[in-house]
Amino acid sequence: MRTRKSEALAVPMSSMIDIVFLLLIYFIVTMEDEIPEAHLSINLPSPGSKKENDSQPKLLELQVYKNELRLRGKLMSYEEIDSFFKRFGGMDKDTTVMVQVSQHARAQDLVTALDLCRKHGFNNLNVLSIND
Amino acid sequence: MRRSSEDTLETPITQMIDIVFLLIIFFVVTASVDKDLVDDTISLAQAKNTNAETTAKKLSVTINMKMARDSQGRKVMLGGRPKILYNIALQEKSLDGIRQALQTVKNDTGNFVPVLIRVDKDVEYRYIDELLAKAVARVGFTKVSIVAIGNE
Repeated sequence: MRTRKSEALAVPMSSMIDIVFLLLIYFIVTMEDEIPEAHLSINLPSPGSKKENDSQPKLLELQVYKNELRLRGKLMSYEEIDSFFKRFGGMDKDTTVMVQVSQHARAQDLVTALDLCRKHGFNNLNVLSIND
Repeated sequence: MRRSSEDTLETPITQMIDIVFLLIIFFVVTASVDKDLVDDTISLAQAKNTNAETTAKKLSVTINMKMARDSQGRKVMLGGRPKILYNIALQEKSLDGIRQALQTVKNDTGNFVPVLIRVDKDVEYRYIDELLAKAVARVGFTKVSIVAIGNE
């Protein structure tokens, strides 16, 4: 009788381990590497007309073509634009950057340009398209 | 008789654990439904200097945009241009369907809702521009973000 009582109180380890391992396998199989997503905000051209009393905003023009960037129309490498922004580190961060994008530029080219602007603290990014 | 009474007092641990684990599995599976609505077939562009978003935006519309490819990975062409596929929460839509969906969101909550565009890195800007002009800006949404892979 005594033996039987001690048997009944024992926790069924083997079945519990079975289930725990099944759960472990489930989590390992369904586990996904979460992609760290960054959101690059842009302003779209407003359909409204320009107000008369609007002060002239500070503008910086960046053109984006397929695999190339131009600053105020001048072809420059990524590093050159990067160092230009760095040299003018004291530039007003409220400066509006007009990002003019070629129809043939790829999404990666646009993201590279937006990312470069964000790197130097420019958050006011207006995106326009170039009809080429 | 005594033996029988002892037997009935035992707690059925094994069955209880079985049911508890089944319940856990049920909750885990149903809780991950939202995660599965992300289109992970899109190859996002890299933004190495921008930090990744740490918290998910509570209210936003995510438009997924990619080039249609055949079984061998080649671009599917349609009328001399690559076929672009759009979807919202994995529900495939035409450009007009996207516009209608955005119109519904605008009617329900207003146009302050941020629109996130998850676009394949190889898609030409003309197609993004088309989406912006014919759907996003046309409906009146102004808060737009391009989604990229950022820094962790």
